[in-house]
Amino acid sequence: MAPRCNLKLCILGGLALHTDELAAAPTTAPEAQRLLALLALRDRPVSRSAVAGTLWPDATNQHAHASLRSALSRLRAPVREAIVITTTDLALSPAVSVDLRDARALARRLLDKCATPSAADLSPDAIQTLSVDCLPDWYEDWAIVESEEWRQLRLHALDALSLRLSAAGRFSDAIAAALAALRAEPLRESACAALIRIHLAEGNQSEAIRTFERFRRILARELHIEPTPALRALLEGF
Amino acid sequence: MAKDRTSLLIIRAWIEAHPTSPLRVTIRSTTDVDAGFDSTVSLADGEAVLTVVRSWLEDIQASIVPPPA
Repeated sequence: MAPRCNLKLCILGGLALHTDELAAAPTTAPEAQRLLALLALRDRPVSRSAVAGTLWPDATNQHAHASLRSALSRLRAPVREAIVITTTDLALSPAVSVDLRDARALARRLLDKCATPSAADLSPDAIQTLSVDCLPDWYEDWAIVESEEWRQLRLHALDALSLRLSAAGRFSDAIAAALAALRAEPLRESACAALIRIHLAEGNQSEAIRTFERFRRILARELHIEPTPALRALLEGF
Repeated sequence: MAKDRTSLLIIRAWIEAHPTSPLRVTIRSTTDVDAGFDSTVSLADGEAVLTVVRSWLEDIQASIVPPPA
């Protein structure tokens, strides 16, 4: 059977493998899911030893390799078609696109002050992409570290995106981006500052003050502290 | 045989430009990842962070079922 041309592996918001025929192909075998997730996160060929040691960390080297061989032998389409298996390495097939790869590239373009983002980079879809965590509810060490790295990248990218949208006069979208960052981390002051600046740029002082007061109440309730002077200074004169 | 149980605690920490309390910490924790995270707290004090971590360790130790005699 000829390999499929288009496979899309999604790990933002949860793992799903999309094919030409299926909106989301079933990938129920836990080993297959973990293998796909690991290869997607690494985004490069990974040695069999590294895969075995990562996915079966408590097993002996010999048992880990045996478990990997067993898992590979049980792979069925479309997962089997998504993975290139050699005697030394495993990697995702070039036919597989990965949503995290695209999302990381989007985030880096937005954070590059010298880059001119495309219309798609400034679209509501971009805000949505940056609003989603990677592999939520996955608790393996290798998944958590990479997921946290994406979380930090997306928070900074949302800040940058809200600034760019505000500068372009697209205040509604800018507010959506800033709110997405605040939802991800309600105590993060830079996201609150961005939101206040957008309201002020739009000439909406009352909403800016409301945003500040809401943040002040959260800080008081959660941490028993006041906002920083820098945040307060944004509203001086209002 | 008793089922293996994994406990997990994630500390996210960052610094804000606050004159007296620059530290910000959120802690998500569980004593059984199969049940998901059961606690999320936000803190701005290092000692309070240590207290939460200590309490989490005590919860894990308290949940250990001794082997039958």
